[in-house]
Amino acid sequence: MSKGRIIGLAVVLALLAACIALVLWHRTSSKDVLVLCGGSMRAPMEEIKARYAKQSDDVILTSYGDSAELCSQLAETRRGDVFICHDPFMGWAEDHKLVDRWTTLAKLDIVIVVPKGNPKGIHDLKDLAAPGLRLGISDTTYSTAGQLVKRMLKTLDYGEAIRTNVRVETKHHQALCNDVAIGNLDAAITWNAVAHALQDKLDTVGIPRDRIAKVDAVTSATYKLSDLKNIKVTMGLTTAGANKAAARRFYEFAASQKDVFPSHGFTPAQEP
Amino acid sequence: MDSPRPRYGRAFDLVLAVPLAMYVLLVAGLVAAVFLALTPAAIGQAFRDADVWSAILLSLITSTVSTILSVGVAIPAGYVLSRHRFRGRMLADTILDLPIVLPPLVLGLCVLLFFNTSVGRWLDRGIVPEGLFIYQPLGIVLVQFIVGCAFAVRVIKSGFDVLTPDYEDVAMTLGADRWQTFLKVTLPNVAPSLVAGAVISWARIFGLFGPILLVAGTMRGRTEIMPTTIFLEVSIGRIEVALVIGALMILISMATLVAFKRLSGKGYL
Repeated sequence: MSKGRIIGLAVVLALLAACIALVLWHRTSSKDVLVLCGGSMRAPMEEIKARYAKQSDDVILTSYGDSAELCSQLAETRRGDVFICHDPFMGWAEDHKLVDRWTTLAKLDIVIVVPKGNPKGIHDLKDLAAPGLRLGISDTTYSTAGQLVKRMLKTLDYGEAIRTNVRVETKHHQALCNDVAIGNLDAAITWNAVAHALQDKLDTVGIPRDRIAKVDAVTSATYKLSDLKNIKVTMGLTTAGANKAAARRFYEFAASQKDVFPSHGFTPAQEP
Repeated sequence: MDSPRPRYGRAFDLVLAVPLAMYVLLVAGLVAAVFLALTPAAIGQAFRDADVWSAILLSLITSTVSTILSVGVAIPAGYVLSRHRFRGRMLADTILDLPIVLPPLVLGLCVLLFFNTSVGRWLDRGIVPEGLFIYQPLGIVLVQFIVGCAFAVRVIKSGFDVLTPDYEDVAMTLGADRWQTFLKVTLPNVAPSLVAGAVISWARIFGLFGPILLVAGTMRGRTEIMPTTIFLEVSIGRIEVALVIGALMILISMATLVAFKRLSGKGYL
């Protein structure tokens, strides 16, 4: 056999071996519980999974992503046992009969994030109207937080002045926090839980709830109305789940861990 | 021995070298910024995580397998498109460009939609009940192959286009059959294009993220690859760990590119 043929055969065999290895690699089996979880909820979910692992042999796999992308995945693949997202996506999933039942794990509030030490002295929403301030907000069309901020600014006398200071609108809350932390922005308005992840680099300034009108808003062209004063983080059991018994066990456990989400910067589901 | 270069024309060479220098400095500056931002604590934290090692290994395996598959398909596809004129050739050529121009997320959605059809459901779950592709490591290879093969075909076909068919005709007049001609005359002459196709294909798919997230998910220890790790680490504010993975991707890319250049001898461009 010529040298070229030996090399060719070796490549083919190596390719075959790699494909077999991939097929067998830590495959997702029907006994696993697949949790589709929004990226912002990763830190509390990992803690809940770690606690659950101490008392159960059930294998919990989590696939994180953007809540909207997870909706598409759930709708198209009909895979996944548990779905965790923030408003308005659970409403959409319910309308499309993708979830059986759901519960509220926590809530989200918007806050102003500033660099550590608050160099610009921002203590109130009104301070965001200061001329020359570089402000970042969430996308006002495709982000729930952005929709909330858009409507809030319309009700404020100085809302237009704040709008003038907006330098960036993005769906990615983490990117807003990063920009403030590294100095590309002076401030940003984002979720409290996202800001909490960078608490060693950022300070937060609360936004009073009374600044947010109770508005039932459509947060995108296709999604359901949601109460913008109470943005919920919700967990649902899917209709397509392959392992319903194990999924229910994890669902009930996760719902019982009421201290986890608040410890990661989320607003408690049941506020005092 | 090469004769000494003429002294005239140096100004011409220097002027042409300026854009090169500017671009090299720009890219080098970006790379340097990543490495300067690394801290020993972050490096230790990243490499103590078993899931990070799993992601590195899975990234290397899937991108290598996908590149080999891409080139394996691109060689016959590029040859047929280059040498033959057939009905539907322009349509086929255009369709092959779609994975290059489509936004990656759209591509991922297309794959999801396909596996929701009756044919797709059979392909995914007809053989293995848990599925072969959706939320499985093979789904990573599938998506990488779809993207990588399009780039490989484009580059390899160019190589066949440049090679005059006269060499093949002469070989066949001397008694070689089509297979012998293809393997002993055609392929060796287009070897630089094959290497270039492999390089560009690998480079494109190594950092692919969006469609893989949609099709295979981001499960740690199962379908997490290096770009996914960066996304997951950034999502919880661990920017430093994400930078470590980013730096590692840069080092792996550089090592692979240098290896490819050495393989092709004189350089692949």
